Amino acid sequence: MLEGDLTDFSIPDVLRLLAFTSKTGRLTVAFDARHGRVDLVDGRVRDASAEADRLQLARRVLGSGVVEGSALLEVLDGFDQLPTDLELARALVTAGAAEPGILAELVRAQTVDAVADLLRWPEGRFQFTTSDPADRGPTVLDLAVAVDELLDETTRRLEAWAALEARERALGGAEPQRVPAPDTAPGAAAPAAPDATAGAAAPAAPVDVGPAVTVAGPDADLVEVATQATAARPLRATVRTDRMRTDPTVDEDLVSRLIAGVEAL
Amino acid sequence: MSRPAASDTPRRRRGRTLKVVVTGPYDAGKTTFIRTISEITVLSTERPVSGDDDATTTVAMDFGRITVAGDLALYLFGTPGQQRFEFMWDILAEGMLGFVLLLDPARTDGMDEARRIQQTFTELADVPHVVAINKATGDDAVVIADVRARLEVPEHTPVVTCDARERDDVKRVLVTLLEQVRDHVRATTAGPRPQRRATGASS
Repeated sequence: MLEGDLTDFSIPDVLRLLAFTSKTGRLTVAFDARHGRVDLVDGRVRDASAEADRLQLARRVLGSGVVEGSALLEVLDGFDQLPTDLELARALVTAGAAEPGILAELVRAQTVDAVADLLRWPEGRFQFTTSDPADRGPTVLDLAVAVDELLDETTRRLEAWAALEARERALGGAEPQRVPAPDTAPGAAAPAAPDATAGAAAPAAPVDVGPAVTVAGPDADLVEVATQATAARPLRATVRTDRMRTDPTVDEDLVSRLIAGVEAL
Repeated sequence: MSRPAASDTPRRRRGRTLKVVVTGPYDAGKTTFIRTISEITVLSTERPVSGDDDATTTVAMDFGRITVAGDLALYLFGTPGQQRFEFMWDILAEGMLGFVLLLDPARTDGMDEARRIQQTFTELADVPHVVAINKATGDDAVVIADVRARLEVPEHTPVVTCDARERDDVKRVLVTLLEQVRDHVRATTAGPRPQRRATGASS
């Protein structure tokens, strides 16, 4: 077992050591009430989470339109306890709810986001325990991200965000607003779900999340990713879309009928 | 111009189904609330609570239905009580007429959670809501005033007491919410009015 304090050994240092020695096991990180983890197989990252008690992948797959809510619920119902992101992705593939290629991309993106989040924790404790995973070998879906590749990506993000913060001091007070896309007007057809080649990168209007940041993407979770960039100063993204407002075809008479009907029960 | 898909036609013939969400902190009584009024067996995915042999909690969602007329039905969706299933909220909130925020005032740990849920759902959708206090003991007026203050409930939002096991109480909560919805629809379709009437059969 390897354990220590993040003020003595940073997460990148620990991950590089585990990659160099081709370790297999779980790195857990704790800071205040938060718990994160990174799973490694032979020194490569296969799964990670910065909020071990939440299903971040679930939000991502729903936001990207890859999986219907009902299908997701059905798959979740098969678990006795909260699955990891990778376990959920595998179950979705096995159930035929989504293409493995698309899910692999989403799991990878989720893993990179999770490690980037962990790297923002200013302090905390870490512990690595070796273990041989029961699911080693061929599976319906797996991930093996090289630590160097992962750290390159996350470091680039952190540097970009630091530069952004330095340039825009008022970021903490940003009031994000979603700019409606032309094709999301009431009555317009819903955007098509991404196909196997497009992945989650469906075209959409830019989403302005304040005076400093503009991200493009169709989904609320993209906005969240952008606005959760500083753990110390989290921003809250307010995403309002037409579908979240009262159905425009609901009129006073209809609601009056509902009231009368409920009163008569 | 493209023709409507063939599958659209039977969908329109089925009539209208409208949706209300019942939300609140863990163990507020959301499943009971829906079970009391629903005409169908509530679809619920409950699991035992660790360390408590008798307790269960909803891990995904509850679903109930009230048929108002042959062509009109009200669906009730209950949110999961556990924070880790929050990602379901966006789905459940989609297209809702309004929501009931149910809470148990005896659970002091649930008040912060109730406030957070209220804020999140208010941001998710521009729809009315009602705060329903379940399992209240003592003077209703005092309890209502206390909850209104602690949750900083807006003046125009009704706060009512109820017993989620009592059908008449649940009906009253739903009617209070639907009256809010009617006022909301009236106000949004007619444009701004000089003085919007504040409604609600509560404090």
